[in-house]
Amino acid sequence: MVFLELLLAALLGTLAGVVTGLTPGIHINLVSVLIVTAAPLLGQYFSLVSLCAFIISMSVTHSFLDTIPSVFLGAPDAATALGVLPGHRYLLRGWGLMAVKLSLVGSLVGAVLSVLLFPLFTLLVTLTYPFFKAVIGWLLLAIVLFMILRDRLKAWSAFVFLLAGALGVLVLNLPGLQNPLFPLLSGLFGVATLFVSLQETTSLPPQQESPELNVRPGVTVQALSAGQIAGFLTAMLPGLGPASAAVLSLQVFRNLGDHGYMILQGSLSTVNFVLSLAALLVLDKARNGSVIAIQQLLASVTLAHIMLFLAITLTATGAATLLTLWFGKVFCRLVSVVNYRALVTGIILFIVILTPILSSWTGVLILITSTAVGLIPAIVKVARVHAMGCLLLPVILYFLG
Amino acid sequence: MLNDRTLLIASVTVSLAGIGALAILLATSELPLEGLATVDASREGESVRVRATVTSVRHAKNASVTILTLSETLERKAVVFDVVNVTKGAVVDVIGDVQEYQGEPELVIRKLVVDGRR
Repeated sequence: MVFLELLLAALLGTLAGVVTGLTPGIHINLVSVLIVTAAPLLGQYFSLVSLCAFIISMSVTHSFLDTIPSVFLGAPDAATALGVLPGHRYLLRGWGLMAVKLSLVGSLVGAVLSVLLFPLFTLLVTLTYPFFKAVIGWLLLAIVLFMILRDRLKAWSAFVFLLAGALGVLVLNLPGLQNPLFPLLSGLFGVATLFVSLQETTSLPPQQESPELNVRPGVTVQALSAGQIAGFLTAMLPGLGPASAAVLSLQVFRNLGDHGYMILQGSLSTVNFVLSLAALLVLDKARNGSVIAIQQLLASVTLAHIMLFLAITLTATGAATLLTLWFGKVFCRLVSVVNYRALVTGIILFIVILTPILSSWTGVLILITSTAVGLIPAIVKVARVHAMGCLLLPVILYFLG
Repeated sequence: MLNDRTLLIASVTVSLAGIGALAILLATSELPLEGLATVDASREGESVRVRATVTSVRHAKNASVTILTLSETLERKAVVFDVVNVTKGAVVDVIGDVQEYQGEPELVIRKLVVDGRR
């Protein structure tokens, strides 16, 4: 009976992950918050562990499917933000499905690898966290300076970081504001990218439905290794998102090319989620909204819980792989027949309509401002990762302030 | 369609104006002052502002955590994830988030003002 309940929860979580993954602007954090809020009611029908199984299944499935809107609609979330441009290049060549499949390789192998390496990561986290804890603020500052200095246009990079950082500091400190991250991240990485897409793309070439993946094994191994390193860094350093961590790991693995980059992109959020479970087990710290929700549902998380969660991760990985392939083909066909500009406009309107519902009219002001900030890196051609200052700067100020 | 220069000027202008507006909003908005009795489990996750007297102060060992007991017409536990210099009997103005801990509502303090100073 318990097994069936867990299975049902995992299945429902997978379905929820399909919705959140494919719908731009809808983040799993939102659904996780709703689950925690509704826990007293849901707890009458499901155990708390089953609710956690739902969240995990949803998170893993989301991390697989979020590449699809990122590639086909130019609508990423913070985790896939850096993958939009190479993904868009694939789309413009009629290879949108190839980009999804490359990302899928990263997600699938990344998930399995991170589960297999989980004991090693828990040991690494235990051994290295005292060092990281002492220097988190300075380390993050060094990472930010490194990313700015490596950019060709340093002044613009710094400007974007500071603007986004100031915005993040203000938004995260506004009293009484509900769901502040929704308008903040949707504007910076969602609406801004969609707007640029509207400006630059009028129609798409026919999309290949059966593209062959031709990736050198060495590139695949490097991309997957970079994904594991990036995932480890996000587990250790609060405020460091998958996109920023990917930039760092790319300093070690430099010659991935577009194919390798899409594999890395795919592995990022999946590995990040699995390794955040390591941070939860070893450090009792939550590094993302889903794990925060799990922490709030369960008074204490034990090794038995984590092992169950890893098993659910693998189950969800299998289901999400099949779903990604299927939905990828659906989107591939859709994007060829639907008016692209109408579709993108519709998505922007959807986010605009949802914002005041989730975050009041202050959220609309935040959305407009964050969209304007998010447009700047696209126009001046600096890396969009600098817009992650919206989360990095508040965290740096917290640790150094 | 807008050219890049126009779009850039518009984006920078709107960004700075928006940030300025949000800064003004932050400076002028304040949570309403509420009674400690309103801090209960049904408000978990909400931010509240209360003014109360500190009746006990305890610093956790090996952790930068200060646990306060606040009293008004009733008592509530409050936690600060920092070491704060507060004495028993001080009147404090706090802004915090309501959380449930071991079955009881408590405040996780984000901002603490002691007798008119932070």
